[in-house]
Amino acid sequence: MSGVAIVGVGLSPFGRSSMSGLQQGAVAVRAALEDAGLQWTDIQCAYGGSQDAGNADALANLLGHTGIHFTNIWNGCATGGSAISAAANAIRAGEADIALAVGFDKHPRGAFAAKPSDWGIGDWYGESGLMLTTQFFGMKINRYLHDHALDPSILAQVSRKAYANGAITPHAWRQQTFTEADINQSDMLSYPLRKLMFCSPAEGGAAIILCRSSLAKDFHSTPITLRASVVRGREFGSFEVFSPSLPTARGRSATEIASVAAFEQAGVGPGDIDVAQLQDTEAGAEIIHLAENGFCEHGEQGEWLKQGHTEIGGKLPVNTDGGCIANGEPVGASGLRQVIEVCWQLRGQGGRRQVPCQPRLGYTQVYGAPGISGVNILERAR
Amino acid sequence: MTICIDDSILDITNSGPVLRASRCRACGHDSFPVSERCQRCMAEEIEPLAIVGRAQLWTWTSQDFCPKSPYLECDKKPFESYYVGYLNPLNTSVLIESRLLQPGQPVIGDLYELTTLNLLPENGAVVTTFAYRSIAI
Repeated sequence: MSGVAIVGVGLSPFGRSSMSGLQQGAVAVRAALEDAGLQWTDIQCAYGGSQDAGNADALANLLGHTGIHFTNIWNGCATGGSAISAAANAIRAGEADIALAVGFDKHPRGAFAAKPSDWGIGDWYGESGLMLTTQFFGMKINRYLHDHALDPSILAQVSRKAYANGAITPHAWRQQTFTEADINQSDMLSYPLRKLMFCSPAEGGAAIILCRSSLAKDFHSTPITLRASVVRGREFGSFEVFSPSLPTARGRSATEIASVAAFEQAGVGPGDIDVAQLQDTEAGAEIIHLAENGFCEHGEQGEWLKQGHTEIGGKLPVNTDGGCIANGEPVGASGLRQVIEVCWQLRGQGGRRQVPCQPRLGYTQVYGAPGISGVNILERAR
Repeated sequence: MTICIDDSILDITNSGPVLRASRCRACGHDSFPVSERCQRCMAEEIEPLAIVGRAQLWTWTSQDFCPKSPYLECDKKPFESYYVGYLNPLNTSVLIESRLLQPGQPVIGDLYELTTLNLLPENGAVVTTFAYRSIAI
């Protein structure tokens, strides 16, 4: 994907805040503008989304009404992926030279509540005690571990890494480390997944400023080139949340489809990637996504974790800021946090969690229900 | 008084519960609940499919905290953990999500039998839904 670079990133730290969701979005946008040395009046079009905290275009009330086209985006947990992809496409299409992707959210505590009718499902499904995302994640990873002869102990290994990375990330929500024993003693929620293996709904904002690559050096000393930005849906038969039934024949997941398309667009392969952010709604998702994004074979994850490949300093550091597990998931902002962390790593701004040896190529994958995946491949401009 | 949770998905007959599903005449894909069009090939030639009897467990998990409303027993105390899973009814091409009834931890591949489960909401009603009971023991 030629011609688009990231020149400004900004975060309103995830967790709990006294600010409204929109205010957290505005904090993120102002931080991204400062990072790029730009003013709000320089932004020529914007794409943004939020699940529970209002319309993204209402950010203009806080930032200024400048007459730009501000498109509201909604793709579940993949909203951030869709926003950045749309902003990049606006630049590619010649609609703008400088564009904004923003997301923010403010969720109530506890698991997301879902109404069957919103999903085209009869009330009987929720009434029978079947409509819980936690059950879906438990059933998906339980079958995956069975199919690929993986030991459930790898789930605590993934969680331990997430908290360890969060503890050295100043803006992470979860700053406490946990041992694998701590994790395995936390409450079982949906076998084999325990409380400390799940991310929680949270609050926060994230903003990214993109521009035409030819302008990038005007705004930032280390622009990050967007080599690929792809959002894809699923094939019939993929195993998705809130399915009263599934066909016996499995189809390819949205992540498998998006990943292949992104590597093709970027002209690089999984072995070229130096640092990655993979959707870790719970520990099992990171396990599955390692293989679905092509970084290892299905079933190889046990050996990967044993060798420490996904640790900071390993051959493919994954979720260096602690991912969703340590940062929580403000749905609208989550996919953009992933991209921001990879930008910081590629710029060498990772602080205590900095990946060594000057990473050049980074990868992000965000996944949303019911089967949407957004993949970005980023490169430090030479 | 006992009522069926939804008679468009579940028929409680004298010889036992029947799940109302559908089969595509064009491609053979099975859907539950009944689908007006085939979800795989979008054909409109759909015939009813009655799902009864045995099924094989494809995956499972536990529900170890009390679900919020609209779960009919969301106010029942104390909460008792339960199992759910996807099962493949024999001679079908579909996996059905269901409550599981059994004493111990489920095992993928085990055989189950379609049965009913009465849920007892606070209002005193008895609502019958479907479930699968382990026959491995």
